Amino acid sequence: MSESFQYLKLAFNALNISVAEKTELLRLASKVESEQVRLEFRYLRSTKDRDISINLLKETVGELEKQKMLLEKKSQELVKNLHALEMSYNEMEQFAYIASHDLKSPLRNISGFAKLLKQRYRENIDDAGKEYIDFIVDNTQMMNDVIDDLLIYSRVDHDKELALTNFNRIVELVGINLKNYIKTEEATVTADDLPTLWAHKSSIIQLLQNLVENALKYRSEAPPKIHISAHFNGEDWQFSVADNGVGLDESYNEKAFQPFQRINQRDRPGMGMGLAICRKVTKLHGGNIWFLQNLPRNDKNTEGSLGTTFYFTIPQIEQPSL
Amino acid sequence: MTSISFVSFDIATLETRLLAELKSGFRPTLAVIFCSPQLPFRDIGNLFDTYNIDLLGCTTAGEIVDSELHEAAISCLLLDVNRADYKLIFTENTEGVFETGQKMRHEADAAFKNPALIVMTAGILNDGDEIVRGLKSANIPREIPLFGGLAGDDLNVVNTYIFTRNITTHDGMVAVVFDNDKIEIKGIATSGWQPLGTSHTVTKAQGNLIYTINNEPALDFFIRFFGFHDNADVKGKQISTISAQYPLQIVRGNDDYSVLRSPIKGDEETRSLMLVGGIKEGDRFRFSISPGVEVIDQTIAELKDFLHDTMDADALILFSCKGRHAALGPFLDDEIQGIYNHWQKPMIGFLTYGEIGNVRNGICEFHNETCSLLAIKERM
Repeated sequence: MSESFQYLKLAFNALNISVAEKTELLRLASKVESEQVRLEFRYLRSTKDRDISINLLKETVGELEKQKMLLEKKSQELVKNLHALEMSYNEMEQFAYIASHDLKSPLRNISGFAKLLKQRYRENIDDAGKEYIDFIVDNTQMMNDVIDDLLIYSRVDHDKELALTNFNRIVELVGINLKNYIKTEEATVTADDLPTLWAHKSSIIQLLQNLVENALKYRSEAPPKIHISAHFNGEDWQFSVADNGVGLDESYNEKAFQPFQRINQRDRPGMGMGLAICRKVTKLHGGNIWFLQNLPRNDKNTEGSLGTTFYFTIPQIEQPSL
Repeated sequence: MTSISFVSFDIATLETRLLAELKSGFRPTLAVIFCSPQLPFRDIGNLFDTYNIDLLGCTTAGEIVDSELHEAAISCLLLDVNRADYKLIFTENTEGVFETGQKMRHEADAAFKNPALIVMTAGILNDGDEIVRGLKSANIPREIPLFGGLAGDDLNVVNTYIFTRNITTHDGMVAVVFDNDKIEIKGIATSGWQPLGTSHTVTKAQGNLIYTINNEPALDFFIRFFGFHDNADVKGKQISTISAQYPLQIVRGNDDYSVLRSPIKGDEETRSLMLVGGIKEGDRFRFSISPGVEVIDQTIAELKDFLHDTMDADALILFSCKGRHAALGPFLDDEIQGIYNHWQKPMIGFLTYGEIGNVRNGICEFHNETCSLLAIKERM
């Protein structure tokens, strides 16, 4: 009981009122006192809460500002690094192009002179020597192919211009380019109706041609059947190139797209650059590329030749700003 | 099941009231007692032993009976529950709180197919998180109804006690395990504290000590955020007086819920903060602001919502954090009154040094600053 309440009690006792009235006054005084305690508590609490909240928020804002500054600094560093990386990448590309280009000329000379040596000095060279010269010629040809692939690979990024590209037309062009190969392999190449998209046209030809060529190269015993289709998934166009070839293990999904990687079937021609070029083309468009093994079908004729389906995506963009 | 709750302010009155109940024909088998450390709680065991009534109880930092909060009192709940439907377990902490909790859980699992535990623990320095981890450490992991509180000692922070008919200890655990197929135990722990500001990371911690937060000494970090004075004495004093009102909300699970932890002490030498429960390096937390007295309505609404099917409960037990008392002051009476008025069933409780209880998603955690209500109901 507080001191003021004690005074009130004394004051009530001094009043000339009945006991019942005094009791009622005391009850009311007690209620008022209790309410006062509650109000005081509430006032003190809210004042304290307000002060602490302000400080907590002030510190939080300070922390956020510090974090913002750190992020800005990191962002600037990232931009700087990205710029340096871009420069170094461009230099590397340029170097690869120049090196490849400049290597071709001496290579042609080596090959030419080796052939000349074999023709003009046929009588003076024994069989082993002739065989060595053949090795030189074959290997210079191989090296020439590598350089050609490297040149294509390094030139992918140089295809800067986006053009409205009719993919049906691209498939026709690929068919023309590979006409003899398709005929030799007794292959069938079919396609659904494909879209017309803004794309780097010459790179797309390269991409589809490499995939079709790949399907022909890794054919099974059955005559190759290659089918190209596409569907829109809401953001990108997803293309597929399905074959009935020997099939490629899905665990090689990363390795297969690296330059100079040949997963299996080393007896087949090629330098292992085809899929690396495909990936570079899809990346150039902001898309992806991967492959899946085709699921088994209940068709005895296809046993052991389920084949592979390559998928790649090309984002659908509106007319690009120039 | 019949249950009776009452308050007494000394042992003699407790006995008088008990005798009166016995005389009226009521035959309780189990008593739950929450007793102020200011009273001779050691004598309570003998009293109930005399009348062959099983007993579990603990010392407190405030006692609740029905709609009222008392000081220096004894809260008593008598139940005439079938002896086959419950088991009392008492264990002293001889190896460690985790091991004690684990042992208790194994005994509970062995006693009933579907056990439900109400546990009280004694020991000022014991880590509440480790206790709960032990209690949850079953051979076949599963969540069971698990509620309880850490005993108090009127904020003297010297010794807290638990007791039964025959034993009293300041370092151990006592629990009543109910056969949940016969006696339903349902409850929820709720706080109402609101998070404030961004999240911070505990970068160095051991046990219940935080050494660094965001790589800054924990004490300095805490002081900076709360705007304390530089004087060391003031800082120390303020931490103990305000920390209960502004606890840390530690994020658990995939950010889907949090537990509250109040720093209880700051160490000037190591610049560390001591909590009641354990904390790990990498834990993230946000500061939280005292909810204001409005939280009372929110708490009652949440309890009503979750326990809406327990209106016909036989009895209620309330574990309310002592820190809530500091934060809500005289308004805590309103919370207790609101809860009692809704159920109108015999209810006892106490102001704890920490609560054990399931949260909304059914996961049991160790808490600070919560109001943990459980309903006891005999299944028909």
